[in-house]
Amino acid sequence: MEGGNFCCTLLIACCLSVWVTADQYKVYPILGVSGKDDVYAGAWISIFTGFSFFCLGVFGIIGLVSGNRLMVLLYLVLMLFVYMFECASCITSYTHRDFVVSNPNLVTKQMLTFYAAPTAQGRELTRMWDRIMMEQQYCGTSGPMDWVNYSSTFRTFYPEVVSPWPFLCCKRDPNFVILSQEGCRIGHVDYINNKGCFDHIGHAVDSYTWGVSWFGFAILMFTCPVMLVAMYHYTTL
Amino acid sequence: SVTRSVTGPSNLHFNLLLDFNISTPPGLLTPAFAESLLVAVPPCQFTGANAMKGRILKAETDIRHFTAPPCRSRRYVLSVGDSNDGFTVTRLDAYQVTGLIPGQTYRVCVSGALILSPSSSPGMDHQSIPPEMARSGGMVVITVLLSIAMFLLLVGLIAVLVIAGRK
Repeated sequence: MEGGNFCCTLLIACCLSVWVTADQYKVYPILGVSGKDDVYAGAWISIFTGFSFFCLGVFGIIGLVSGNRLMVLLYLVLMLFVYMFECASCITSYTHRDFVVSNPNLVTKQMLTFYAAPTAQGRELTRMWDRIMMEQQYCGTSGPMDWVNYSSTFRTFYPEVVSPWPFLCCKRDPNFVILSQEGCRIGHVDYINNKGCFDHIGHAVDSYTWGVSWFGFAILMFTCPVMLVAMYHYTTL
Repeated sequence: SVTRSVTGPSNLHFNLLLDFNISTPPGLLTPAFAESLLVAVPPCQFTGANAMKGRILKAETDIRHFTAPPCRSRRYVLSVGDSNDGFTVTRLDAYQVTGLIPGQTYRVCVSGALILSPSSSPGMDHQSIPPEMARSGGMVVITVLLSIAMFLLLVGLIAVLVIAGRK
């Protein structure tokens, strides 16, 4: 029964990691460009370790039932090996989440550097920001003032008088027509989206991290006594 | 408020106390951009012979002038489609001064009286944003507990191998 529960938990872990790698919030470019993408790497590792734990769980059950000492020893050694990988995935996933979303600075700096840049990374990030600003009706990281308070690559292409911020920040009607371009340009609150995207991005990355890191941690805390019990059984064989 | 001397009928002099506020225009995110400023112009009744003229200066040099806009005629164009029909019309009267330098203070004067001293936004370099990272408690908890668990398992495995080897 213990083995059955174990196997089910690990299959759930595998599925959760698949959800993270599928990235429904589509915020991967922020992590990828910053190099702090271990939230996703951790998810890929969790898919591997979740499935490995499941296979090893079945193997361990067979070994313990048949009383074969070599099988149980092999089970213990391999479990320890996979345990190490899962530990690494939890820790690095959480660390990289802290790098990226504990503070808006990294996301703001990345947005100002890469939005509207003609490089491949710039295009990818521009597409991502455009999509988030359009779908969620937000503007910038902390708000439209990010574009005014700091210099940016966007500013090198568009003078402040013409376009102080991207026009995707403007409030639009249901037909996606800007309500008032002039009102948006001068920053009237009726015509511009005032809220920043950071909360949304933070929520997305946090959801992924809780799934990979905390759930993985819970599995490891559960696996530890299971393995200690298996070690005890090995000594009685 | 600003006082202004006008000559009325029978050559009587009046001192009008013009009580208006030419501070920042209402409803804006900010009146101060890095290279431009938004200044509310005086209300439209101060036109014609009593037109309010304003100046924007940097140090003692005039940069721009503006005048109060005339009122529209009595057609109440702004009342068309008012909130009775479920949508609102927003009207803003402001003057945008462009071509400014970031991080400078300017002065706005109306009829010789200093009204306002806005500063343009300094426009900091985005490369200078410091990458702050807050270390959260969760990271410490996960690392400590997993290290302890790993240690226990290694010790357990070694002990088991020793015990099984002695048997």
